[in-house]
Amino acid sequence: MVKLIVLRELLDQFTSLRFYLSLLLVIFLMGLCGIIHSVKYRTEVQKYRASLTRYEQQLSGRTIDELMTVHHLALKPPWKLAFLADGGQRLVPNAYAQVLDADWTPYFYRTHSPNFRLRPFEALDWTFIVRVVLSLVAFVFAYDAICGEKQQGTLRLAMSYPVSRWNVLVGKFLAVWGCVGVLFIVGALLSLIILTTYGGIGLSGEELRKVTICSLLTLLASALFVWVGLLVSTLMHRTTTSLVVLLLVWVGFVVVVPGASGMLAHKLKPVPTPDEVGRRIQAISDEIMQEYKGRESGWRGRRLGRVDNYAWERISAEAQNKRYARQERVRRKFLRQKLAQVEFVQMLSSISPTSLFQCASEHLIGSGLDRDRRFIERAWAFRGVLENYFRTVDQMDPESPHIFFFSGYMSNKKVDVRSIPRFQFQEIPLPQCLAQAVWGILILGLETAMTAITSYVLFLRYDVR
Amino acid sequence: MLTYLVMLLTVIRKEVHQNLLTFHFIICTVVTLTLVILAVFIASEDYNLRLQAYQIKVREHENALRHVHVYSSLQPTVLRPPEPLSILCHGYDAKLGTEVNINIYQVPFQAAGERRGNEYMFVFRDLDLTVLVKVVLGLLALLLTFDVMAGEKEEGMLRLILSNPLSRATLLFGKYLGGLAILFLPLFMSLAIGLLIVLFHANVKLITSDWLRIGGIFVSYFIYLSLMLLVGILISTITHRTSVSLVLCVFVWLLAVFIIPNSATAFASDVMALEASEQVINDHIAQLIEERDRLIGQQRNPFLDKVSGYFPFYNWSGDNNAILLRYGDPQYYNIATKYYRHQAELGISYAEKIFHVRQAYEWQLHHAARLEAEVSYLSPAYILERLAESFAGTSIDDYDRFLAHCRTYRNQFITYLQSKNAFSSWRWFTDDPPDVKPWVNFFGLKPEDVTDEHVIQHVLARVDPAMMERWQKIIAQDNEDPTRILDLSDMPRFSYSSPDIREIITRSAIDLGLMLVINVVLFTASFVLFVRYDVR
Repeated sequence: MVKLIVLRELLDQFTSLRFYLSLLLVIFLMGLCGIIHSVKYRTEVQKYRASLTRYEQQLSGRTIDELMTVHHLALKPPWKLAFLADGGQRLVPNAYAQVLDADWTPYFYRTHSPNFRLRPFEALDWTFIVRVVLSLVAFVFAYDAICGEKQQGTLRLAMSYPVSRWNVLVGKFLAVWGCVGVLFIVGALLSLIILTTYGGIGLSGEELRKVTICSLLTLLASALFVWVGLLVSTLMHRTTTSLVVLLLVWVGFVVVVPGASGMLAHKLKPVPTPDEVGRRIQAISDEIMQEYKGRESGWRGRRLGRVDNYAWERISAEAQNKRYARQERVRRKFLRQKLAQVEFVQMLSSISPTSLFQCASEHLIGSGLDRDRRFIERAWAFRGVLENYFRTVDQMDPESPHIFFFSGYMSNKKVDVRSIPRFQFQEIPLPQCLAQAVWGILILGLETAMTAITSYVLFLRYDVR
Repeated sequence: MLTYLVMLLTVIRKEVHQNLLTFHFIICTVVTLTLVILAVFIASEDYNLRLQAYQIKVREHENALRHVHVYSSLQPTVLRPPEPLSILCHGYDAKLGTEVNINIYQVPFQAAGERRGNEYMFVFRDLDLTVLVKVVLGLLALLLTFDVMAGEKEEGMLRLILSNPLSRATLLFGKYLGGLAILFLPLFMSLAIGLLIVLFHANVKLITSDWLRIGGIFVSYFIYLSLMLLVGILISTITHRTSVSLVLCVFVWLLAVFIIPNSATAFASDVMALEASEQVINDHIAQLIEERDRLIGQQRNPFLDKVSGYFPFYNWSGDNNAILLRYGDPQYYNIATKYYRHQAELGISYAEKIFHVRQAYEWQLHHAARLEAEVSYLSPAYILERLAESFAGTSIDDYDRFLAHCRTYRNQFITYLQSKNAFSSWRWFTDDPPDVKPWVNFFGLKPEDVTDEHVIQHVLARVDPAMMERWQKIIAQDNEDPTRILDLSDMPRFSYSSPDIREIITRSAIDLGLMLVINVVLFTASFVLFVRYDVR
């Protein structure tokens, strides 16, 4: 019986105008997504290589002492799965430059800054298409499932057959869900074909698994959207009211909740302004200056300093390294506060299922905040690796004054360029991603079940006349 | 004529009454008003913070100008004040730089030093009045009219209405005006509430020109909503069933508000490849700077390198070749004058060259933005955003305008320096009086008698702490000496104010005209279609 209902409903949908409009829209957007990400990934790889080559050029033929003043680069590789969920990777800093001499301030930056003249926009990826288009499409497919039949009077007729209300509801759900699923799968396949043929992007096994799991999550999310549509459809008695309500719900999900949570976060979880942080950093400099006031320190050069075994320079280096460590603590705290603020916004906006879906899919493929955080931690840890390396190679040179990370007073020997450690970044492995995403997925599933049950209960009490 | 008006009024009144208490009207109004309160409140606080930071910085820079000793270190920093109307329409105001350093070595091409906020907060676009009008009220406009014809027809009302002595044109026009009248209410209320919050919570004093610009914003919103109304009417006259009409309206709205502008920007941003990346441009600029410095170095005189009895005792240098010398020999200063004039001249001419290179890069960015705009013009929501930003003074054009003002100011500044003969006088690098006493006099020596030994003893080595102390006292005294500080009372000052209404209307005439033309076209099309509409 359910099968019959599903078939009839599917036929209805497939012959309707809204199905073809949606199909056109999804195909257009998914195709555009494929093209944009093909081009973008290609140029990003080029830029990534160019930045690395530049860095390699700076490294070659330098002495250890000269390498103290080179900007050592930690570079985030281009994000291959950006077509799934960009997660802001196209905007957030993708590089960390640090000079080992502690007189320099390390900084995160973007190697190729985006065009500031363009308007802020949301990346055209699968999650955008699902969040903005498929959710609305699911609503448009489902809004008249119950109340439409009632208006036409066919619901009474259907109920006169020996079929349970649950079966009717599930049949309708499966049909609408199937339609939305078909749209998504057609679009996703199209964009994958464009990405692999035109873009030449090869996906590894792990990446394919991420794509599959993310697609499954999309299907779960669309089930939720369809159930919300059915719920409203059983609540209302006129089709137009039902769609109007759904539209307002959609505006709430997609525009109001994320926008309002962003604004609330500025108020509830404020982050100090760069000016304030700058003042705190300056205060540390002043403190150190006070602490070392009156002690003999300075730079006298290699020749003069040897007189007292670089006593002045050692003190300068000590002060400098101490200042660096303290200031770095402030800077890191500031950055962590910013990340925490973003996390807070995500938490607030999770009230909206579309935002929850966005957040869960970012976790699921290791994009967005998880990737940023991983990169930041790795980039910070990279300094330790470099310091260890240079300490070791400097110790091997007996002529060096061994004043660590104080340019001018380290070994003048050259090192083998290949032996300098390079920054490595691996994407987050799938199990770790799953662990991050599990809560989001569970809540989405729970919401789906709850909406389904509520719709069922409401439909039981629905006056079909 | 009178009967016509009466008829029209009846239609309008009916339309207003019918919609005023509908569910969607109430919900949309409540949602808009709540969010307006939240958005304007938070934006006001943000504005207050920005204003405070601006005032502090202005004071700092003003203070700095009171302690300039030589022209080479006269490099005023100018600031763009935060735009009060950005509270209503954020635009680019808090996103781009506000601070420009004016000096002879660089023609300003970008502004720096701002509160950029959290760079990791990318997805969550903040809400402002414009977004709310664009999304929520735009939707409401469509919801008011999607059933205007098809709905009446379904109920059989249309036949009834047209059996009265009422022309179709009057009916259509009446329904349109009725829709406008209904939309006026939430629009006016949100603007009024927004302005009340601005007046009471933000540190602003709105002047006449601000009020005119606010009027402009309101008119833009209104034209946009009228356009959306007409889209609804048109769709309603094409279709014969309300459900079809509503579904079509939903798709149009989705495309206009979310899909078209977003896709256009995404395409322009990621697919348009820049011919020369910023890196290439920066390398080119670095090359030019290197060339400039080499040319400057060629003119270097032997005095400047060798420490001798002619050499000034005190030597301070800062950004952009700022330099302050003291207690040197007049002979030395005369040669240095030539050198520094050469340096300044090269600096000015290379500043132009660097600017041209940079401009080539900016043109590429412009080009991508133009592509974005050309595609986005398909969406009325995009035109609305441009218009509102233009009236609010928060558009990208206003940023360009600020930079253009900075460049004009730099030219005035250079003219001022020339009028003061700054480049070819001692005053470029020293605040010593013409009858300067070189440091050697202090030790009872003559410049030609000074040996390396003397120099090391008196200048370089800290052999005699008592001597050092005496010198430091003299230097501190001279730093405070008012005769050694430049009198800048006649220096041109920088001031920037938002564009006035006439300028704005000129620059957004195309956008405004386009919106109006679309309105007229839509109305005509609906009229033609409605005349041929089968009302049965």
